Amino acid sequence: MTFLLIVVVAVAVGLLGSMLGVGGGILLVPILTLFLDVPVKTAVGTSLVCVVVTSSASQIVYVGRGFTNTRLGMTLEIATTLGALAGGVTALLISGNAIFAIFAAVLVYVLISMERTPAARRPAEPGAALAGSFVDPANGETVSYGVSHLPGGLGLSFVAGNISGLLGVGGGAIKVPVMNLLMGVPLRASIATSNLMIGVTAATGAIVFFGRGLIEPRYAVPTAIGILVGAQLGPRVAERVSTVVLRRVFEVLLAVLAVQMALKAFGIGL
Amino acid sequence: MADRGADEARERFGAHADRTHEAMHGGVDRMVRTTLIVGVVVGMTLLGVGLALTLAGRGGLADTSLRAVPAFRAAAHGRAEGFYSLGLLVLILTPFVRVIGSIVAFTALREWRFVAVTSAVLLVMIASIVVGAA
Repeated sequence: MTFLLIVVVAVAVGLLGSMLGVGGGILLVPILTLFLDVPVKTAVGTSLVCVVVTSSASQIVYVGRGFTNTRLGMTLEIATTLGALAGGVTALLISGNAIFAIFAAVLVYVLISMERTPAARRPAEPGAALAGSFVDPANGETVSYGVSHLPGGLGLSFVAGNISGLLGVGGGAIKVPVMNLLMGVPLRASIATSNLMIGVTAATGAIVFFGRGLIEPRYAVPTAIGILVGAQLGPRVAERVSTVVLRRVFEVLLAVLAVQMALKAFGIGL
Repeated sequence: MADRGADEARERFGAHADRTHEAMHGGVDRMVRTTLIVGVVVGMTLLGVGLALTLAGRGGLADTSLRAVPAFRAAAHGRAEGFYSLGLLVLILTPFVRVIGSIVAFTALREWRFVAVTSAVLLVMIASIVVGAA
C-alpha cells in the first residue's frame, strides 16, 4: 500500500516539477520526511536517485535538440562534483535537524528567486573556447554566444553542488541564474546545461549514500518509477494547464513546506 | 617561404571555420545521448524485473540496498532484491558512464583540454565511490 502511495506522490512531483522546470528534489524530500515519516538522510538519498533519473531522461531530449553546451557543463562539473562530494559527506556527519533547517532556508531562497523576474541579459560575445550555439525553436534562428566570468561561475557551481549533495536536490535554482545572469549564457542553453550537470552532481552524492546503505529500495524504487512517469507526462499536460495557476500552487506549496521544515528543525511536529 | 606559411594558416583556419556545429558537438552529444538512453532503459528494466519477481513472491523491497557483488549473486538466484539494487545502481552510475563516454569522444576529437577537464570530473566521482564504500 505504501508502495502505491509513494508511486502516486512521485508521479505528482514529477508532473509538477517537469511542468515548472524544477527538479523533484525540492518537493520530494519535504514530502517524504513530513508526511511519510521517512528519516531525513534516507529521504535525501532517495531524492538524489530521482534527481539522477529525471536529469538523464530530460537530457536525452535537451542534448538531442542541441541546447546543451557540453563543454561548459563539463567544465563547471569539476566544481559541482567536488561540492556534491563535500555535501554528501557533510550530510552523513551533521544532525538531521541541521538538514531540516538548511532545507527550509533553501526553500525560501527558491521561493524568492521564483518571484523575481531576472532582467534579460545580452548574451556574452561568442569566440571563446566554451562558446556555444543552438537553433531557437521559437523563430528558427541560430543563437551564438560566448561565456564570461568563468572563475565566479566555478565558485558558485561548487556551492550549488554542495547543496545538492547535502539536501538531495538538483540545484538548478542556483546553476541556471549563475549561467544566465553571471556568465551570459542564454536561458534555454542555461537550463539544458544545468540539467546535464545535475545528473553528474546528484550521482556523485547518491553513490556516497548508496555505499552507506542509505538508499533503501522500498522508497527509492517506487519514487524512481513514479517520478519518471510523471516527468514524461508533464510536457503533455503542461499545454492544457495555465502556467500562472501552476506557479501559484507551487509557491504556496513551497511556503508551507518551508514553514514545516523549519518547525521540524526545532523539533516541533504538526 | 612566406607563401607557404600563409597557405598553412589558411588551411588551418579554413579547417577551423569548417568545423560546424555538427562537427564540433555531434560526436560528444551523440555519445551523451546514447549512454543516457541505454542507462535509463536498462536501469528501469531491472527495476521492472524486480517488481515482477516480487509479485511472483520471490523477494520484496528491502530497507537496505545490496552492494554490487551481493546484488549480482541475488539476481543470479532470481531474487527481486538483487534486481532492485542492480537497477538503482545502474541508474546512479549512468552519469558516470556518460562522463567516460565523453572522455572517449573528446579523445577522438583530439580536444586534449576537455579530455583533461572530463577526466578531472571522473576522478572526483571515483573519489565519491571510495568515500561511500569506506
